[in-house]
Amino acid sequence: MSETIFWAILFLPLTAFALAGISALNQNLQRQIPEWDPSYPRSWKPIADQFCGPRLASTPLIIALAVAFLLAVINLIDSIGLRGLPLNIGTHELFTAGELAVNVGVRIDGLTSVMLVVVTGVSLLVQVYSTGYMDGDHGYRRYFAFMALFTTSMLGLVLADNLLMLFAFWELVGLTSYLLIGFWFHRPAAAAAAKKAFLVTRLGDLGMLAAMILIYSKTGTLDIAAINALADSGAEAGMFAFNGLLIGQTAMTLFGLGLIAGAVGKSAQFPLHIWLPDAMEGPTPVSALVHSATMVAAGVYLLARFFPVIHASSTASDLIAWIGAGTALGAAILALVQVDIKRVLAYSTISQLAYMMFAIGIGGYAAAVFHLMTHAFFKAMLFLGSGSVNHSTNTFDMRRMGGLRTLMPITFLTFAVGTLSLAGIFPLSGFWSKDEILIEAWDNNKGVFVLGLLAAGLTAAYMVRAVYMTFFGEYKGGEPVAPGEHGNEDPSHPHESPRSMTTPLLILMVISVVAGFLTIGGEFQTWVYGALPDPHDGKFHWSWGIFLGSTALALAAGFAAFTFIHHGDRIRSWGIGGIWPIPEAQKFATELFYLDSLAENFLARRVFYRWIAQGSAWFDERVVDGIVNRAWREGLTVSSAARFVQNGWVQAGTLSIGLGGMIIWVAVVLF
Amino acid sequence: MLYEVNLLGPELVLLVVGGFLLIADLFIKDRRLLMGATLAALLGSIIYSAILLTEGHVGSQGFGGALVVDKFAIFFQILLAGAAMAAVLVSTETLQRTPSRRGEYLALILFSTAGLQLLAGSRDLIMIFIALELTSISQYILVGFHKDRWGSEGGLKYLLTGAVASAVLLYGMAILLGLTGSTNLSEIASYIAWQGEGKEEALMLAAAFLIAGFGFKAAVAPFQMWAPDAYTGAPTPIAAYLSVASKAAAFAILIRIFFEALGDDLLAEHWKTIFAVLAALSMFLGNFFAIRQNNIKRMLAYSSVAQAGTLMIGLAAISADRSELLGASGILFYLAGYTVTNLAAFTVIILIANHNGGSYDIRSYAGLGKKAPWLSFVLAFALISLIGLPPTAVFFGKIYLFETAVESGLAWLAVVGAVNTLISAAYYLRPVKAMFIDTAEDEDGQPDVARPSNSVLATMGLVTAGVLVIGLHPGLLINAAEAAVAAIFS
Repeated sequence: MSETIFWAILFLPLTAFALAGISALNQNLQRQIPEWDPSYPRSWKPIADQFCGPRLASTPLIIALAVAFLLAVINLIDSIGLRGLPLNIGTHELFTAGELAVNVGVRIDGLTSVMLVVVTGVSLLVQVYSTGYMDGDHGYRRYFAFMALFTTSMLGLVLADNLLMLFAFWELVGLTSYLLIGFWFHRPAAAAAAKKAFLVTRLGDLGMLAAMILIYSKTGTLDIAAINALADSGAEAGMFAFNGLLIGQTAMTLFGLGLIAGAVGKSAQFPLHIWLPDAMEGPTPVSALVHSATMVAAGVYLLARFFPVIHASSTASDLIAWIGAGTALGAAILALVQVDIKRVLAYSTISQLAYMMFAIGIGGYAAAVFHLMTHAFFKAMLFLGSGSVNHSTNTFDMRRMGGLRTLMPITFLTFAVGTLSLAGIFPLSGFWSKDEILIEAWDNNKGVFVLGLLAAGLTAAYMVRAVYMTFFGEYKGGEPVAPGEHGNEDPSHPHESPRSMTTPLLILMVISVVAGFLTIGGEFQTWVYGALPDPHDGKFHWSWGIFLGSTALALAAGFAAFTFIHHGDRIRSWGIGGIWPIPEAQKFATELFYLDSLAENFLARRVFYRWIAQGSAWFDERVVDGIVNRAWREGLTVSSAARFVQNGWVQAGTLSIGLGGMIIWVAVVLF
Repeated sequence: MLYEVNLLGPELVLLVVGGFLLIADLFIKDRRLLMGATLAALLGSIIYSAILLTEGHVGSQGFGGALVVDKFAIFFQILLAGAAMAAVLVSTETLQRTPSRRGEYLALILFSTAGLQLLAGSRDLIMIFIALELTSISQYILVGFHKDRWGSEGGLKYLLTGAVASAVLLYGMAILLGLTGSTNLSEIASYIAWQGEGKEEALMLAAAFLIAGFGFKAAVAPFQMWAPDAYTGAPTPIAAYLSVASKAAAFAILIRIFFEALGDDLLAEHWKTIFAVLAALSMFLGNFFAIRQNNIKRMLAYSSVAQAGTLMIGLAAISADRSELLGASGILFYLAGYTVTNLAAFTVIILIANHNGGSYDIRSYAGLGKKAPWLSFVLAFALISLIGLPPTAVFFGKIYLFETAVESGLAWLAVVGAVNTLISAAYYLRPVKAMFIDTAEDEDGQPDVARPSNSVLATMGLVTAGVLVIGLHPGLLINAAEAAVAAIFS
């Protein structure tokens, strides 16, 4: 594969971003034409309106992503042919300043190839879906501009061959996530959610930045391959040494912990998970693409990319294994009590990402990457399905739904397949990838295995509950369109969504059914490891016990959930939408374990705002501004002196030249 | 002989077309035709320089060693011709105001550019002086081109102080000739290397006079007195041209003389101190005087004094440590970045002045951000670049110069530069504040006017793109600058 096609994959959506930007700008200009702006070419206006309509925002993006997807698939086939070994593509120097060389380059191996296909594929389907979902929205063009920028950044993130470039795109996806969560910024909840997401992920990014500075100051390189080779060389007497680079065990551990901080923030793991449920305020296709399939998986990607680093330190790998296992179970519990369908899916996403996290922690690299891939497809489908439901009921509250099974058959079919896949029912894709992770856990860490297995049971329970509340029983009428918004004018008669929305759902359904078979025979495992060492030396094995056990558990939990909710009235009234037998526990869970209120009320308001922020504000007003204001006044005084020196006399000007020359000479000779 | 004429090609193109324009001025009045011919000449000059570069003439000398074609000279020839092209392109309004003297104006720009180009390639004191006079005399006329009160005052002051500067320069050259018996830079260098011992003080006197003479062209304090009046009085495109082209050529010849002829270790230690002190003085003087200015042209005049000071940091650094080549290539990089940035700022100022009755008062910019968002944005971008914030051209230039200062043991100078960057923000941000924060006194006061010519718009787009491209991908220009200075420091 030549390098050009990878840059093409990156620049195709970027071009679409430029075009969508022009389209959005043109829309803006139509609203407010500057009174006299000579640089706005008036004569172009009719032409601009002709060619810069809303179609300019969406169509080029879809074409660009289709081409990029094809290229990614071609690359995937090539990469399989190479058995996942990294392609040797040189890096380019952007500029150097003294010692520091800033490079850009692409790194292609099995992991990148998978990610490219996932990102371009899901993004393509989500954009097609969005043309239907966002149709008629005032911000249609802005939406596609942001989506194009997001896809570009995400592709740049997975293509990067050095940590600096990766970090730049990492921050860019953070920015676009902020813009997309707050897409309907006139809603206070959306604006607050965007801010929260931005600030909380920033905490993790701080750790990542520190890790980057640390590794650069110790080794002088940010090249991913070099750092991995160094970590892989193994410690001798507490020092890693490879190819002239040298780093101590402690520094390597700290580097790994910094990366974990970044991953925990981005992938919404405990304790930084609190932003993801709120992020559901964004448009639903955004939740499908950004907050379930791609961006939140970037944290998992980061740790997979630096797999040798994580496993060069038992502290780091144990930490991420336990964070992951705990989050998997905790988030599954929280998903069980949500009444908002998107929030159920959001906690489910946190829980599933946690599976990938602990898989990496216990050494199941291939299983984590595989689950990342299958999860991207079926979770995107579930989110798009919830969007389809919302499109005709105007609400995400499952208490206002019910009975949509017959009214929206295609949505129901795809949502049901997604549910079965997520619950891990044979032979759907989620079954294969989740069981692989559980088998890895059984082999390496029994404690993590127990937590993971419990979470798997709960997964089946909360999804059955969500499907039941949405698609079975009586239809409860949805909600009328909020003033100033657009939506279904007649929610009491829900209808199936347009074809632009159902087609992507069906395509994703087919992928979700078949994607799991890739793993049979273990080919995927060897391929995705590529040049990476397998810590278990290929000891991965199939386990019938775990297969049967987890399937039985999922079926039993699903059935239990069904019984509880179906006969809810007869057994006991457990509060709204709950299936939890103990009221105190129910309250504890609906209050999200009090983690959100701890973070917002205590940490953010009391500690941070009261002490740190107000202290900084005082310092800024009194000390920093004080100095600046003082300097400014003194500067004005000096500047006034200009009137005496620079008085416009020609004599002064000529004198200064001759005299200046003489003074220089005298000064040089004397000193 | 013919071969030597070939080496003079880039300048000759300009001189020949300039002469033709003077005659054509008598019977051709079409502005487009005249401007087209001028632009074609400048483009031809650039192409000629490029051909000299690619066709293997690099390193050739002509006219008894008085003229050299090296990458250093070619870098400046292209930069200067480019700046002149921008100045011509934005001159539409000036030319409309003076229908009878169009050819004269354009020819003078060509002559001045030819002189500056020649300056960059001269290796002989006499040649240098002739080139300098060719460019200076053209500029005196151009500054006073509008024969109004301000134009006449600025032009006359420029002429009088310029004459003194030339005299001082000539003194310096005469002393150098008397001491070494040669006007050729390499011969002077070899004389100093073999017999310079014991004659330092006389050599230093000559050097001090040379610094005064060229410092005048570069508008380095304390030789900057002419700049505010000349900038204010000159037609604005000429002010833009003076602020970038004169400065570039002056620094080119300073680098060439001080490191080809007077670069001996015997003296370099002294240059370091002189350049460093002049740098600090220029930065402080230029920045402090700029704060109180309300006329944006006058403000940019003082700002250009401060920028010259920043450029001097590079000269000081490379005097202190000759292996620190980044000092010289940093100057070239900074000059190119500063040229596009300042041209962008001046282009917008011209456009705004054309539309609000020729006012250059910063206070009259109030509320412009609403009325002309694109224009205001470009001006704000250019001013932000002048401060030296990323992602712009001047940002990288400053980083390079400050870094070389630190590397060559002049950390205090880098600190002075950083402090001055802060001070400069105080006045560079004033127009930005006026445009985007202040509200206009009368909302509908501005008359609706015809949109400006395409040439001005195109120039604005090109130079703004230049600022951004250099800021985002500085590598290309850095390579060019490094190749250029390698011709002198090899």
